Amino acid sequence: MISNYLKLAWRMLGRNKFFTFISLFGISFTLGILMVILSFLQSELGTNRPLTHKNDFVVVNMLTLKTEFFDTIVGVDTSFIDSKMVLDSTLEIKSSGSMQWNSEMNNGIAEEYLSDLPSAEKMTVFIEHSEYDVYINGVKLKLHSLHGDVNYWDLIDHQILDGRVFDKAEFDQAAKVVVISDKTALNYFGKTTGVVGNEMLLDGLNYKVIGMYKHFGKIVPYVSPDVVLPYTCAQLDNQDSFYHGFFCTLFKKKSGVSSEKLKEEIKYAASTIPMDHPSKPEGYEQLEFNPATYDEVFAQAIYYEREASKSLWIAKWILISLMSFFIVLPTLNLINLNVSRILDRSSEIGVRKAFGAHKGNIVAQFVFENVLQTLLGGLIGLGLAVFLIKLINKSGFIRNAILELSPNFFLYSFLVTLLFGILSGLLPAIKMSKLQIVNALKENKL
Amino acid sequence: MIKHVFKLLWNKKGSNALMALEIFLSFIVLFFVLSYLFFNLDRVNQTLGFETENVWMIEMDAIDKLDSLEAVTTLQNLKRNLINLKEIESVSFTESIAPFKGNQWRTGTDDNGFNMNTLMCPVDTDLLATVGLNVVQGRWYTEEDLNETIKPIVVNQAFIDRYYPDKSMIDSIFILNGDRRLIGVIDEYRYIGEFADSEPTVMELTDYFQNMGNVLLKMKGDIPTSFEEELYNLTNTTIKSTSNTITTLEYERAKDSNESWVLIVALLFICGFLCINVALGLFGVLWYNINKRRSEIGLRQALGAHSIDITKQFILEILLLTLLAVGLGIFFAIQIPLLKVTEYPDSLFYRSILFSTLIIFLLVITCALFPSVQAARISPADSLHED
Repeated sequence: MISNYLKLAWRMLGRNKFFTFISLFGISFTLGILMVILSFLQSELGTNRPLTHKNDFVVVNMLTLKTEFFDTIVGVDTSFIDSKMVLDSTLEIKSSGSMQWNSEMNNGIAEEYLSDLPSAEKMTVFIEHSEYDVYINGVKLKLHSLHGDVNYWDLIDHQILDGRVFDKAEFDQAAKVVVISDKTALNYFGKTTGVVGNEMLLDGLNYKVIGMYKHFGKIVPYVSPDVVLPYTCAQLDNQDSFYHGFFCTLFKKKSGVSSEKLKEEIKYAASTIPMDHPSKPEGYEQLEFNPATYDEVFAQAIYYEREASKSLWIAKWILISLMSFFIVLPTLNLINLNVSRILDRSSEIGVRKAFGAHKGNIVAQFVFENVLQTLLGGLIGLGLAVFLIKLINKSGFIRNAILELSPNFFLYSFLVTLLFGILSGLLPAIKMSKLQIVNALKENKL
Repeated sequence: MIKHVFKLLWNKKGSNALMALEIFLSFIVLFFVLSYLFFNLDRVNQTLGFETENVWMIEMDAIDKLDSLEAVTTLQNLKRNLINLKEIESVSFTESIAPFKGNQWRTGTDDNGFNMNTLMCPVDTDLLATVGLNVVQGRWYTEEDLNETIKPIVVNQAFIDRYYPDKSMIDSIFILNGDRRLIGVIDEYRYIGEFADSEPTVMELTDYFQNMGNVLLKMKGDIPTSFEEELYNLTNTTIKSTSNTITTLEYERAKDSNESWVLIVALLFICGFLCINVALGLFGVLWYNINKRRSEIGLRQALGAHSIDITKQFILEILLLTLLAVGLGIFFAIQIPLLKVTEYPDSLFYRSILFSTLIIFLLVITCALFPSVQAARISPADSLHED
């Protein structure tokens, strides 16, 4: 039976070439663009390297010093009790605004008060956004650096191609060592082999290259630096402040506990930090952390809400509604086309029904045909997507982002294609299956 | 005629409803995309108020590590050294608030009897020449202004338009972190970026002090980037620190607006594709449906209808359907400016509605024309013979 369906579907494709073209154009383009978007989300937010532990991450990238102001509002009501006037006053205390100072934190505060939370397996502190200008034969190379500690390498799962990462001893001694990405190696040394052991001149100081990791172009933070150095060799000014500094803190939660629990612990830890240090800026009374999971950090870039989970919720809905808008139109288009096309085959349906085919058989046949057509379109779409992805990667159209083609990507693309085929085929098929035999056969064209 | 067309539409309400839904959704998508596009283009088309061509920028991290006296002498040394270079025309120092850096400083006061909120921008006297500001009223700062008891102040046109639209404010005094005397108005200084809104901005003259960590340089003509290394070394030796970076405003501008452009191009690309897709779909459906009605056409022709009448009828049918769908779309879209859902200007949404409507009708008419003309060519002998 399947082979019959296949044969029929194939014949139908060839029967009206213009319609087949319109359908395939719509299908392949829609699916192609969906696949590019999928690939983008997958390579940015999937749990592929170096973000293998992404789902266990909780980030604290901000320390907030704040003071809330309150207004006391006195309301007076008059009422008559026993024909005597009685005043009834109510007090309401309302927040009338707040003063906030958000900045990254001092590493000392993180290491002292956040380092052994019960739900956290590991913690790393690092400075993310400094830059080095280096000159090679008069050409400038901008290097984005990350100054981290030893735990950084455990949390961010970089693929080490050559050499090794810095260890505890080197970190403590502030050894002048650097781990670089293969992209940096190519830009700086002109080669990716045998760079380990060479010297690199950063800000007038010689650093020894001890390792090389693979560069994954990603927009998401913390994972695509050009060079990684121990933060003990960073020239830090402003270290006299106990509270604010340059550091971001990243936690990996223990398996089995929820990230909400870890977030609660971090929020609680904030309240244990003393507020009487002499470096505290005047007028601030409270200290707050605003922990977020890794996805929530990404969502905050799309739509910022101070409550990170709310950000994620809103960003999710923005994405879902945009995507569904984008899918609904081509689906409707295909349904419209199919509804008119299928009319052509009323006599065929009539004959099949007259010979005892059930409604279900007919629906199955048409949906099958449509799915087959969609899969064909999906295949063309895949080609288009691969082409577009190559083009985007090559042109650097999206700054610093490299889209990947992973096995998961193909799986998701296939599922999306299938869904699209079933959705757009079902309505016309059901409509046709309801056709009365008499009416169907009356148009005696076969 | 219209009544007749309505009846024809109603007879096939099922498939017509689907088609109307598709047109309606296309309208909504177009409306949002165009609103977004117009919104951003309006901003890009406004003047930045300054030039980015041949302007370089040095960012120095280490300045705030020095004590204030040392910082001032170091900065003055640096300025002297830079201005002596034959490639450099003009040098201006700013704080961390520099073009495209993403830093902002806002302040507000109600001391003047109304709420005044502005962007603040610390500047020196050389900024005018370095980035080419445009003074539209009054004058720019001179060195003497630093010694005035009532501090002079220069604002942008947006500030005047919002807070003092009626009269010339030159030499008037108002309160903004103390008494300030307005001496000049520049047209604009949108340092946040090309996609930033035009906001009231106050340029405040500042003396050399510790935090002046950004240097803007106007170069003499198009200096090759190889000069950067020389500049880098000179800066390093003068301020005795190596953590400096050099960049050009052109580069920073491109970097800053890249994200917005990526989104705009991607949206336009997707929207364009949706339009083509819908157009092709409509064309297919119309062509098909009209072919299904050959006998009706034949009959009308046999009864004396001209071919132009046939075409007219089909076009009218599809136009009516579109009108219904777009009317529904306009009903929803117009709620946004009417109910003041957003703070953006109403004209933006009216423009988008107008253009979306035009595009949809253009698309539909183009798609309907060919099948309708084709239909009119059907000869009654052929079409009636079939039935």
